[in-house]
Amino acid sequence: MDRRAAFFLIAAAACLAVVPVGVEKFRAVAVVTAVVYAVLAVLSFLDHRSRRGHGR
Amino acid sequence: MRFRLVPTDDRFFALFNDSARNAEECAHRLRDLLADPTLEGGLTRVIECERKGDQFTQAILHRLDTSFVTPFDREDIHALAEEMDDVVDDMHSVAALMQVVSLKETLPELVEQGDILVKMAKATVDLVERLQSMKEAKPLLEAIDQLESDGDAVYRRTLARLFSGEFEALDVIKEGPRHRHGGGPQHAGGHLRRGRVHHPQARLGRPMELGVFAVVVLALGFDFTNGFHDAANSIATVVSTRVLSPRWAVAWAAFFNFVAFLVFKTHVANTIAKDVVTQDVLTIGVVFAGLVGAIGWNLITFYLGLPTSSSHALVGGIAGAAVVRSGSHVLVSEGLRKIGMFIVLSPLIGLALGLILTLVIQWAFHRYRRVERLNRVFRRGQLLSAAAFSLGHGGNDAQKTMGVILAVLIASHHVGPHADVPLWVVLAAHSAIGLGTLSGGWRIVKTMGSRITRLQPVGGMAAETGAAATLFFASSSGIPVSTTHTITGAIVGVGAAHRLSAVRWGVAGRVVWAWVLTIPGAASVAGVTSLLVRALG
Repeated sequence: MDRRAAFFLIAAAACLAVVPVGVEKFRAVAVVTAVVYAVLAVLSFLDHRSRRGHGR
Repeated sequence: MRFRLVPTDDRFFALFNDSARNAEECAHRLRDLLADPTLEGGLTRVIECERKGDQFTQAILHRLDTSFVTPFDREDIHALAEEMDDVVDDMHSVAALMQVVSLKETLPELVEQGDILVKMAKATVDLVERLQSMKEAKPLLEAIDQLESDGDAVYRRTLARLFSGEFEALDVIKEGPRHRHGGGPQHAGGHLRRGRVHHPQARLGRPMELGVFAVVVLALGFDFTNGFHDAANSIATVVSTRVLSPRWAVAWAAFFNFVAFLVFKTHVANTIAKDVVTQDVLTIGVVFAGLVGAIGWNLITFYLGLPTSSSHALVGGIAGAAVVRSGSHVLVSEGLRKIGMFIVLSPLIGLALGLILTLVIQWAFHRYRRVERLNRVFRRGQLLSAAAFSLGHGGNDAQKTMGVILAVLIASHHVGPHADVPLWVVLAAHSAIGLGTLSGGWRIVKTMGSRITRLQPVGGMAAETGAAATLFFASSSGIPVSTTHTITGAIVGVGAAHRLSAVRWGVAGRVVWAWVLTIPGAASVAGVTSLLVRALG
């Protein structure tokens, strides 16, 4: 497992975790940040997989 | 078993109940006398209440003199006891005056005033019984307000009738003084109504010029040290990449710290002053204790080497001091949830922006071969990014101090509860943070960048720009955030763009600990300080 992708997923989860307890006005900020981290996680995973494939 | 954190002497509440019931009894007796001025022993019965009232007042004041810890502010207890005594004294004055002028019969309006006084006294008894918790007090306060208006209306109607020519001049002279004497009931009612602001949940306290001055100086001192310590955040990369000498870098940061007041409004200051705890609990003592809590916690974590946040310490300090003083219901959920949300989000947004900017720059210039020339461009670009970060730092951190000063000015009635931050406070706060940066920041530059990950000029610029953007958003949205945590997140983001192993996770991990510990830690220190302030009177 790509550690960086895992880190980004944890960051996305942390952003989502504050959504229910946060104020309504800024929930969108948390959701957008979570989505950004999710995308970064996917990109990082793809990068990691392609590098491994290239290494083989 | 009920647990009490603060030892309190609840006997005060019983004494106030007795005093209020005595006032109610006195109101009944006066009303009977107003209905029938010839009533046998009417005046004597009122005098009995007046004497009892004196005894209750003496008992309360004696207890005040001999109690180390009181259930609410000493001066409020003193004032409330005096007001209750004045109410009964006024009723006695009305009864005595009736005897002086040998009144044989009264106007029906005077009896009506007597009825209003009885109702008002009953409402006051109910209100005083709720003094300990102040639960469901609002309807009673509204009822007392309404009764006072009713009393005013009766008073004006009576005056109009007295001067209508319907009565002989001597009768007018006899009736007049009882109305001029505050109209008796309504004057007494006025005392009862004013008594409401002296309950423990209400913000009270006469202006304490020395106290206000001390808190303002302490807050500006806090701001000065903030500039002193956080200077490293904004100039570390500029210094380490040799774009500027440490002295010039500090001057650069200090200048943009100061001019931030031209860019940002005072939303963050208003959040600190009005959205952490309810305004009615903010006293000079609470603000002082909150500030001491924040400074104390900063010193403890400085000793332990934790990268604490002054901002969160300040929020925790004020919240802790207010909760210890008046209970958890004084916390403003909306404001605290907003601040709590961005304790987590601001470093993560900074991280994401630092990472994305690094990726964008790398993708944009990865084919560019004249690296030395490119580095020169990014070195100069760092001047702008460091300026932007200093602007964001000044805009967010100086406003926290403004918020503290605004809170103490509101508490001491120097400005109204809805007032904005006065200009002199804005200038003083920005001057303090700028001077703090200028005076000592260069001595403690510890290259924040190299502590977390080794930065190149491009990385420094990306980190500062990402953090600055986060701070700009937070400041314009009225969110107090940690500038240290934000730049730390952004630097981690720059490091993570390459590989996670480039990040020194020990520092980043300590930031997470600081997230968890700062608010409860500062709240605890402030709570203890609040108890001490209260015990010392």
